[in-house]
This record gives sequence, structure tokens and C-alpha cells, in this order.
Amino acid sequence: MNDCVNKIKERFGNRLNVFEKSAKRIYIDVKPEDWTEVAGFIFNDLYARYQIMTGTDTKDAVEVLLHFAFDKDGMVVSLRTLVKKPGCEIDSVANMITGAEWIEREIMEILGVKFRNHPNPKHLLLTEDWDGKYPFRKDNV
Amino acid sequence: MENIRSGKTMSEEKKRTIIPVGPFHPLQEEPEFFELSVEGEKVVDININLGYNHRGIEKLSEGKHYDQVPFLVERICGICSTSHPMAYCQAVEDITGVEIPLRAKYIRSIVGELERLHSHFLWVGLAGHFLGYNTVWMWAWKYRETVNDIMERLTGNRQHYAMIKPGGVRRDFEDEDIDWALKMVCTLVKPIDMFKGAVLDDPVIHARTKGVGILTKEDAHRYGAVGPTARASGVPFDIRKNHPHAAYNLVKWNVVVCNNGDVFDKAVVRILEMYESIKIVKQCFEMLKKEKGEIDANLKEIPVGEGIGQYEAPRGEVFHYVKSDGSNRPIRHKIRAPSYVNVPTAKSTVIGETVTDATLILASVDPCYCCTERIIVIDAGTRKRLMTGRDLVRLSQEKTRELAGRRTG
Repeated sequence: MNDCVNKIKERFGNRLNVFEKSAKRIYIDVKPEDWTEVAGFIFNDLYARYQIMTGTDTKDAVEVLLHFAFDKDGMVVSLRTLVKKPGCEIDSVANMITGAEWIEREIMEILGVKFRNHPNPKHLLLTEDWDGKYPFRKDNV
Repeated sequence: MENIRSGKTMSEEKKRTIIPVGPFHPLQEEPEFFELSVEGEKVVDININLGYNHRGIEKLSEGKHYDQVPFLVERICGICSTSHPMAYCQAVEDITGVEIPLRAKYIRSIVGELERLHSHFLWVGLAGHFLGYNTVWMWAWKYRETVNDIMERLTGNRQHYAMIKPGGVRRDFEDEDIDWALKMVCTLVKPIDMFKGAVLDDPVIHARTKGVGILTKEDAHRYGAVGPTARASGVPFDIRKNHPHAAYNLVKWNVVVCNNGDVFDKAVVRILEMYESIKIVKQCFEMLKKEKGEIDANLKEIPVGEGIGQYEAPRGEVFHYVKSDGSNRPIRHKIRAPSYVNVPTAKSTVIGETVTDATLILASVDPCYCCTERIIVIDAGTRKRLMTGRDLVRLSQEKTRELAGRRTG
């Protein structure tokens, strides 16, 4: 297994679950309370390149993925967490990863995930007076 | 007294003027709103608003089957129109684990690199236009036509080539077209030499762009900047090299990296990259002459799973994430275009610069436009062509004469 993945495993042990889909695609299940700590370790200590986040609606939770690229190894590591409904809250990583500001705002308005401590929690694509429905929630279609 | 919105005191507010650039502005063909706060000539804050033209493509994609999606994502952008299908198809191939045929790999790289060439020509032209060098603009777009002609002959279209499909490519190239295209590509080296000279040795361009709008290496990391925007800041990554796909690891070429992070270096990266694209295209064409065979792996079922596809578009990494539940449509399709991470870097590059430089810096990340301005007028019933290219030229000349007459009269 890749050196960087080993470092992540060493640092967090059984607090996370590593799934190696292929040599170049790693998915790591993270608990919501460990979200920013694991992301910070990968972004700051391992200096991986932040790519983007993906939000997907499931029945009882919103699945959030945070994708990092390890360009030297040609590898993509995706952190995965389930943000439970109805509260749907998780800590923001945008104070640490500046580039994540927009995507967190987008996920907030289209999927209704609240990112705690977000530096600028305004709408990104929808108007400020949007009716409060989340267009990407499956039960809204 | 404090302004609730900006958090600034009244006396601080009074010194500031807001200059709106956009949402509709002559220097940007897409609606996006840059709100510049200035004190005198100096930009002290920038606020970027978007969402004026959101098309909901991710949502639309969930309603299309896997083979239809390439046509949809191709229309995200008229300039890097092959980059999105390329990344999407790789995401689907990542789910299935299929390896595409060798000939398809070469064809993918050729289409990708010709696209980069015309995209960079377009940017060089626009950059010239922004600086007031309209000759550079006209010449750059003239040579860009050559690339569009090559595309038209090889794929049938000047833009939106519809060449990439999950598992391979849709059309094969004919041998005689390859010889012709190879010859045409070689004619582009001389004009690029000319632009290299015109742009890189010009004292006025140096004065306008060197040391202007610097994006530091640390900020490039913080924002996750990609493509020429990142490579001009000394971040040496290129998806084509680091995450090998298509034929990029089968041919010889170099990643262009500069270190100053200013507007000038962003231009240098793009111009030098054009030589690399020509190198790649030439080698791929040569290989195509030898490498005959299938162009499609004939993917049928897409199993349950998730996949990630990346491609180095002319403006940087395009990222697609596709999730499958085993049906014939993706249940989630996340798309990230390069401008989504490059445009926010304006916050670190524009603040502290002057208003005159601001629009140039905003343009230096090459935010993208659509251009397919060509029409054919046909009778829908008989499919007969009612108007030729010559007729259209005549119409536009008449219009010009009419406008000129109005002005003098």
C-alpha cells in the first residue's frame, strides 16, 4: 500500500476505515467528529492537493466526500462521511482549505448540510430569498 | 456606526468606491459579477458573485443514460468541449475497470491536444485584446481557424466533436486525413514562434504583466488552483503526466512550469505548452499509422460502484465523480470545472493591485467562453441549403455599409 495511505492509517488507526478500490483510488470512511482533523492532516501535513467535495443524498443522511489528489503518486484519496438527518451538521474545512469555501456553500444550499464555522455561509448559486427547499434532496423531486 | 454587510465603519466606507465588473461586461462573455472595492486606484477588496447562468447539468445528467451523458457534458463549455466527456468517460471506465483499445487512446490524445491548441490561441488573442494589442488578437484567431479546420475534417465538427464515449471513441480517423492533418499541424509552429516573440519580448507587455497579480505557491495550494494558473506558480503538476491516461504516457513531452506566479508567467506557460501539444499530436498521428485495430471496448453494463475521472483541460484539471447503482443512469454525477477553483484565487491576486490591472488579472486564469458562431440556413422540409457561406459574408458586408452610412449621414 502507498506510503501516504500508511501514514494516515498510522496516525488515526482504527478511527477510520480504509478501502482500496484500486491502487490509484482510495476511499476512507471517517466519523463526522474526526472530519476536520483527518482532512487537516492530509491537506497540511501530507500536503495533498484539495480537489473538490461531493454531496449525495441518501435516505437517512447526506453522504459527503472530500477528494484529495496525491499528484506525485497519481492517486486520489476520498474521505467519506455520513452527515445524519435531520440535524445534518458537520464542521467546515473552509477555514483551513480556502478553496473549499464555494463548494461548502453550494452543498449547504442544494443539499441542506450545515457546515459549522463556515467563514461566509451565504448562498452561492441560489438567490438569498430561496424558498428553503433543497434541490438535490431526493425527496424534493 | 458600522455597515452590517461589510463590517466596516462609516469613515472607512466613505473612502471606498465600489466598481462593478459584470454581471454583464464587455470584457467577459459570461455573466459573473466581480465587485471591486477601491480606494483611489487601489483595489482593497473583491467580492465574487455567481449563479447567473446555472444550468443544472449535474441534475440533468441523472436523467440520461450512460451513453448520452457525454453529449450533455460536452456542452458545459464550448472551448474545452472534449475535456468534460474525457473525464466523465474515465470515471465510468474507473467503475468498470475496463482498459480502452490502444488506437482509441491515441485518438483521444489527438483530439485533446488540438483542443488545447485552439483554446490557447484563443487566450493569446484575448490577452492581446485586453492589453490593447488587437493585431495579436486578429492573428491569433486567424491561426486558431487552422486548428478548427483540422478538427472539422477529422471529427466532423469545429467544436463539440462528440468523439469520446465510455470505452473508447466514436469515430475512427481516415489515413488520408491523418497525412493532411499532420501537414497542417506542422504549419502552426511558425506562427507560435511569432507569438512567442511578439508577446514575450515586448517591453510594454513586460511592463503590464511582470510582477502583476502574483499567485504564490502557498496560495495555489490553499485554493487548490489547477492547470496553467498553478503551473505558473511553480506547482509542477499536470494530470496528463501525474495521472496517466489516454496516450500521454506513450509519447515524449514535457510539463511547462514557471515560478513567478504573475500574469506574464501564466502567458509563458500557455504559449510554451502549445509546442508540447504539437509534439504530442505529431507523435500520436505517427503511431496511428502503425497502430490499427479496435477503437471501442464496447461497454455494455455499468456495475454498482463509484468512479473518479480527471483530465487536464486547457484551463486545468476537470474532475468528474460518477456513482452507479447498476441501472443505466448515474445516480450521482459531480462535476468540477477548473474555473471553479481558479476564479476564487482572484481574492489573493487582485487585492493590492490597481483597477487597470484587475480585469487583466481576472482574465489571466482564462475563465471560459463558448464559441460556435457559424450557421447553415436550410429548408427543414427539403433539407436544401438556402444560404451559403458567401451569402452570409455578403449580408455582413451590407450590414457594415449600412452602419457606416448611418454614421456619416
